[in-house]
Amino acid sequence: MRIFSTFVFHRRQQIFNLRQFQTTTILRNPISIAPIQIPMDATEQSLRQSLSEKSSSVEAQGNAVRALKASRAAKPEIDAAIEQLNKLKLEKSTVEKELQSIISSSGNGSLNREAFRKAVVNTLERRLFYIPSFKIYSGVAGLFDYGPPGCAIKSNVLSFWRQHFILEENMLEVDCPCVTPEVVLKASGHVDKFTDLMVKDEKTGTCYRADHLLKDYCTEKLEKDLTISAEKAAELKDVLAVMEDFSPEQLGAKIREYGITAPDTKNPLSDPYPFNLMFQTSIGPSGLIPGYMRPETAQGIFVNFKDLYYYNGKKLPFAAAQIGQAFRNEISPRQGLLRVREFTLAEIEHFVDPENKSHPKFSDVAKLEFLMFPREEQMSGQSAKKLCLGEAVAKGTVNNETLGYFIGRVYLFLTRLGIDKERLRFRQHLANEMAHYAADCWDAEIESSYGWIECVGIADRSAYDLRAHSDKSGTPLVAEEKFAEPKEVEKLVITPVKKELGLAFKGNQKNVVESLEAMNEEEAMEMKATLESKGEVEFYVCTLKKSVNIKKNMVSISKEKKKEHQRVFTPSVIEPSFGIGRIIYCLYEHCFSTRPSKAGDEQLNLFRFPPLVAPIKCTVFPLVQNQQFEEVAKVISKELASVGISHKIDITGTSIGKRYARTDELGVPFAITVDSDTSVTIRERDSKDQVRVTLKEAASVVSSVSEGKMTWQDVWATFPHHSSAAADE
Amino acid sequence: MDAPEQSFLREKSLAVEDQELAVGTLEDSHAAKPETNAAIELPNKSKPEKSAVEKDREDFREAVVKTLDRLLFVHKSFDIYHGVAGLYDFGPHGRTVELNILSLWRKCFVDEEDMMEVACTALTPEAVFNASGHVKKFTDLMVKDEVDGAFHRADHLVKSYCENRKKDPTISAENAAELDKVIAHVEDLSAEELGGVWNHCSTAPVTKNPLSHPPRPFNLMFQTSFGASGSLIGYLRPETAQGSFCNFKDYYNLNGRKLPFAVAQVGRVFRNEISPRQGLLRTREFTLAEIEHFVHPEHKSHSKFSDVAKLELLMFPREEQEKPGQFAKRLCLGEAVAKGHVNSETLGFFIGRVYLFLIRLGIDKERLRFRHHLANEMAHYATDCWDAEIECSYGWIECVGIADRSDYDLRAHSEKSGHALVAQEKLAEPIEVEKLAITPEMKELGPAFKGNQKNVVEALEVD
Repeated sequence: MRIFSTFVFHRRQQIFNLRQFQTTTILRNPISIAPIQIPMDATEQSLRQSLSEKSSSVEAQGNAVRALKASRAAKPEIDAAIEQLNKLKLEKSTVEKELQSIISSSGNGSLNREAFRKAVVNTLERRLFYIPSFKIYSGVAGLFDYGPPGCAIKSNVLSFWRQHFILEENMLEVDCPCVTPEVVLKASGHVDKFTDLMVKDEKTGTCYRADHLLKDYCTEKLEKDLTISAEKAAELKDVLAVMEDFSPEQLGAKIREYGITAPDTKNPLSDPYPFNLMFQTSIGPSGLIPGYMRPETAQGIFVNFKDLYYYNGKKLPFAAAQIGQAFRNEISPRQGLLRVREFTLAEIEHFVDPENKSHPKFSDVAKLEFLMFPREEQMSGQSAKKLCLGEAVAKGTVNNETLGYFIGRVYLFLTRLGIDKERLRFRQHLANEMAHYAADCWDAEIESSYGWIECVGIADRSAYDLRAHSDKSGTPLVAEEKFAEPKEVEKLVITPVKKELGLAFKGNQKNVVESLEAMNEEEAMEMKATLESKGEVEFYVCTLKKSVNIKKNMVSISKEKKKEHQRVFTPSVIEPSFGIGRIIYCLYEHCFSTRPSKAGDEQLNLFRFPPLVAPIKCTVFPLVQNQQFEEVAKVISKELASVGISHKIDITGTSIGKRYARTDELGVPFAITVDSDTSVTIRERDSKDQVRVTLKEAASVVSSVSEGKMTWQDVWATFPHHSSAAADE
Repeated sequence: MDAPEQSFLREKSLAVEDQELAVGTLEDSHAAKPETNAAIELPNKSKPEKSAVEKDREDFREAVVKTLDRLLFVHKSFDIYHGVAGLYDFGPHGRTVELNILSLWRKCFVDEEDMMEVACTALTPEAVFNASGHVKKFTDLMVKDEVDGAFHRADHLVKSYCENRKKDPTISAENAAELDKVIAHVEDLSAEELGGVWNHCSTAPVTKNPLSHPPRPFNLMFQTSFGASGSLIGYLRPETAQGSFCNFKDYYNLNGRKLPFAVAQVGRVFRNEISPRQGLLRTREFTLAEIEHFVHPEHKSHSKFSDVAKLELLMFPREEQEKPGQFAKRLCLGEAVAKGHVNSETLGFFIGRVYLFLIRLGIDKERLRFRHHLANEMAHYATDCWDAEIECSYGWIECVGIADRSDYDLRAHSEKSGHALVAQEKLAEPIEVEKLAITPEMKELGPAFKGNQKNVVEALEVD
């Protein structure tokens, strides 16, 4: 929890915590996200110490040499001193090199990562997976368009999401507007608390995120400046770890202490101040109705809870889901496709009885084992480890079965999309990272060239959101449980005697009455006892900010037995929230690889997308340009279309190897090559293996293997192999 | 760009409705408190002077709307906070229906026609809408009730006035024709053009309070700003097309620099209506599915036109609309193109495909017509425009606009961005062309016009 740990409001963290990953990613050590003291790597520490010793020795020896020269000492003596100096310099440089290599390897190997990212991003842009929006007008930071292959991948991911969550769990999919009146986001807390701290270049007015500048300063010092002392390095690491908890004042003090200036101009910076991240607009012509572009889709579901609950026959649990655009006016968006100003969220709000969070289908996922990173492991400096989900819930590491069930389902969803399971972990929020009302939170984090990125947040938000909207709207967003048999319950009854209170407190009567009625059972029973023994009691009225004297005749307090036929309660909300764009970007990185061309003279790119997400499932090529093969290709194309397999037909005369390379780079998993009018070959992208099938079988084989009814291994085992030495270049 | 021209879903519906049905004159009164009173509009049955037909339609609509609301197909957004006019949620069934429609749309257009589907952002910097003309022209004329502060669309008031006048049996045929003309074009008229008629509309409906004068244009785009400084103005797109135009060059290259090709986009768009009425038909946020088919201006034939040429559908060509008492009639699409009613095969092909799509969805083909835009209804640059109009309890509602926009949009963005959004055709044989060469003599122009030289030169060079 970074900026508003002191506030009640933690919404932003839990939905796909755009905050968290800023620090998690850049820091080399995954545990450094925890605001705890980070023990510096022992080797690094000793090297820094030794470097500083060597530097002093070099300096001392240098002085000695200069002194000898000045005193016109004998040449052999000077030579010996110089030799000693060179030896020391050599030692220093060895230590320097060692330290540098330790920093860059324990660091994210930032050079390699950046080169890799550049290769991915270049390919994505060149093949129009995405396009910086409005680039003919020089664009706007943080806005990206999906080009044709990107758009196809996104719709494949969303349609799988619908199938995996909405259909399988029978959720209610709804669709609410993006334009949201202020009152809704006021109730949710966004208007007051959805902020980042910003500093301004005092001369040009350019704005920066205060934490970014401090973080950049610290990482840069740590990575590039070898001369800083071990103590200084430890301090900087410490700052990186705890800066999320800094108040505006603390952040400002650090910026001043380190003398941080505006990155481009080196001008002085203003003190940090909060900036609301919602895009504001105004609804209707009057200019009197402020509205915002929603920063998440969840609020639209919460305000409709009552309707959805009735729709579900007043039964719990049930889940509503929504896929839609959300908007965040980032101060200075960086990290390309990971932090954007407009993005697609897919959110589930699962409403459940707070007293029964078991899940009937939990056993379906209980045996899954995957990387989990519980709170304790983070605090004690360990790393994520493979745990069995069932055990994690049984041991209480994961708070309840429903939360555990969704963690398991999210794991299955992401790995089926093609996310590498070794680079996917579920990280539990630390206690101080969570809102006070939240029961438990886990983030699905995917490792990319930017570090571990939070892509899905899975939070048990208790009754917070529904309560907030009940309070502000005056419409109780509650559920009822009818008892089979009426239950006898003991209820506290506080009855202020208005007549006496009125006489005693006049205008303050209302405040006193409210405070009396708000007492909990313990307070009330204590007052009752005091009143009975002493006849009066001092009572603090918080709305008046003073104590008043309550006499025995002013209030009656009793416990009564009542028969109740039902229980009315505010349901808890368990919220898995998916940043679709982030998942897709991580998927691009996990699926990207290169391999040498046949001739070995160049590296060819390929995306190893699973058929499920591949933008195009199959390409159809005539081996050579001729009428007969083209006709066959068209027949196959028609058959593929009729079974709904997205495909491209390529009749350009380019060499077959080049055409394979082109489709590999687009991530097309299968290619049908027409080399006769009775049979064709099917090539699989990753293995480059080919089988021969009859013309009639071609479309149905590709369709089965694209839709997962068959694996390529099955195909390989069933059909005759075809080897074509010339094909793949 | 003319606002009505490109804002097809919002502008034409009312004009059309009038030809079939005179809507209750004082509907606007319902919108007096537009922001807080946003329920799916239920007709007010207590109103007098309604024909039996109108009443039937309204009862029917009420039954439909009630059912949709009860079954949570669609309902007012943020209802627990009394909602905002023109914003609706789709509940589970409504959402499923929408998804099914979009998936059929993708199948019928994107997949079958091998279009490129893209997704651009809704947030758009001002420069884009300056170029497209939206910042200047995407407006409605608005007046304000000077007492209660409610806003009204000036064209709606004028139309109501004209409709009322027409009911007066004593007015001359000339007058009636004049009124009809005003009603037909009321949404395209400027404040000045409203002219004389406007003087009769100087009081607000229902309250009869005085209205602000003159009507002033209100831009219908939701405005916001990017970043922390507030200096970079942005809008929420009122249509998806501009994003596709801006990326033309990339798409063209991706298509191997070949024409024709089409770019499709399904997405959310936003229009800050002055006082939204007509329930789900006029909302402030809605889904558009748009196709931009880029074609060589000299070759607008279509290889698959023969697939739709034999379709017979209700068409309402311009000539028929101009004669009084004419209705849409069943025409063969092939003939309509051959006779030049429909300007090109490509436009005709899309009319046919839209027809097939709508019929497949379950739209009654007897209540679906294709209406030709009148010459003065179209933007000056447009070659031809047809609207698919569907009849419902509100009258004939424009649901799909099919326009040949010529090269207007790409040219506008080329000029404003400085990036040439053009295609190239390699000629098999070089051809000899005669080119006009205008070379201003700077030496002579300078002494003659001094500081004005630049303007003179530019004016001379414009062809």
